[in-house]
Amino acid sequence: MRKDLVQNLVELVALLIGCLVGYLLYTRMSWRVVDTHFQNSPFHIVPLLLAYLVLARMAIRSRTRLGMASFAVLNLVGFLKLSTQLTGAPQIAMVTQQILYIVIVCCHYFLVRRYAGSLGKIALIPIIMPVIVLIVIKLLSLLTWPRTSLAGAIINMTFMSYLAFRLSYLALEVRNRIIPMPIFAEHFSYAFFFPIMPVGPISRYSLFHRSLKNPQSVPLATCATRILVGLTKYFFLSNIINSVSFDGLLFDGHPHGIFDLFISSIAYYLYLYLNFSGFCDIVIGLSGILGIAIEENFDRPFHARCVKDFWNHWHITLSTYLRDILFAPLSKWLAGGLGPGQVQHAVGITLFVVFLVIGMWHGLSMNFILFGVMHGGAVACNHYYNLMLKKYLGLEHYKAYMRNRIIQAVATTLTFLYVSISFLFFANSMEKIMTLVEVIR
Amino acid sequence: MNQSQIIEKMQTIFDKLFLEPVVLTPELSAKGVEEWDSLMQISIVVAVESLFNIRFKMGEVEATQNVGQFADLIARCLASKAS
Repeated sequence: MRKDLVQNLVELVALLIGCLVGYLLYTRMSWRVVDTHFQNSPFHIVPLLLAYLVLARMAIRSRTRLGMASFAVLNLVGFLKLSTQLTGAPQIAMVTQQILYIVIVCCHYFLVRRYAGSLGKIALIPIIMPVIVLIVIKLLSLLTWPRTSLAGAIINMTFMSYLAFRLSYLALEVRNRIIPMPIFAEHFSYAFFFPIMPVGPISRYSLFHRSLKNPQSVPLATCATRILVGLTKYFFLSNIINSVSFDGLLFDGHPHGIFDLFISSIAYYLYLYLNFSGFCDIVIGLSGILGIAIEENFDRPFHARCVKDFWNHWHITLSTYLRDILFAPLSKWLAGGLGPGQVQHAVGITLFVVFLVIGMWHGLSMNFILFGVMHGGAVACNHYYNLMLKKYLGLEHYKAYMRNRIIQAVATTLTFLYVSISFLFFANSMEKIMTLVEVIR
Repeated sequence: MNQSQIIEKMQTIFDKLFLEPVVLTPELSAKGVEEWDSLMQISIVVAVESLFNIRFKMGEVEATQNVGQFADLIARCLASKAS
């Protein structure tokens, strides 16, 4: 017991020193963060965040309806503050957006209440509704409005991508009786649980629900360390590596060799990992302080030996969600349609479609579609390649092939490079990609 | 059909699909078997559906944590079909 206490204290002191050093570095050094998410310095929201954490923790631990309701209100306030902080939209557009989010969530709750418990196809309504709303918003934003016009600013609802997936996952879990029908305050606080609002993870409602009923007790120092790791990745490491990625290196106005294309792509891949997983670390740490468990989103993606494997370790909650909601039903439906014995083709086709959807979910423009095609193509090809290997090598040789260290190393390297290059389409618009031809000599 | 009988029938499917022999126990989960990923899952689900002549709902199978729960789900589907 005492040993634990001492260890916790030591960790905390180390942590405070780390924070101090980090803060000093941050304020003194010239590589001030060029940040994509925050308009201003993020440090002035720290007191607000602390207040939220203390109050929300108390609200959850009380385990009463009143506590639940206050937690919902706290999250709403947090969300309103966050969206004001993140979107640079004009005041009127932002308020409209915030009202729209609240209306969408309330409508969804009504649909879940009304239909999710019923048998048959009607229960699909609350599962599909958020996705349809998302598609409509994305399509509307494609229309000719310039982003700068008021309508364009309103329709640019960035939080909807993740919100839609979480809401539909909730409805799916309610329909499958994995969790009981949520009360409004629970549904509302899950929808607006503000740490996961900006970039996920798409953590399941069942986990959230269990955490509320029985808050997990992670030592404070563990959560704080996780947050510190996240902050370091997000604000410090990712920005350093980003200085040699596409914008920093390739598009700096000078001619480059083909080798620099690889450097930029790999740097961007690392940047994206540090940026995204760093943010998830912060989110998981913050939620841990509240006692709420959040699913992990990354698990050493650089080890992946094929693109399929990559998606099992990268943005895991997105691939899990799409597996449940799109891949499984669609491939089953295709398998039924194509007839028995065609399961493998059904899987192959569906894989391609799922990755195309992943690409388009990130944004409805040509470069993201190409990103989806690259990943879908690779996964589908890999699927057929494996089938072929199994057929021609026979089981014993196939096993030996899979276990071979050299083949593993080559496959891992190729996957790493392929994924890096694919991020060329993720990071840059088509016009920029077109200028590559001039940049690279 | 009880859980162990169902698992016994499921074993025949797993023997056909997996490279390494897998011995099914109620506690076994996809995490414990290297080959058992989401692609394998589809092959398993399609095979189970045709063997037992049932249809799962979206997300039902994915929600089960281990073979035991999967078998219970099959039992429930069989029961609701019979009634």
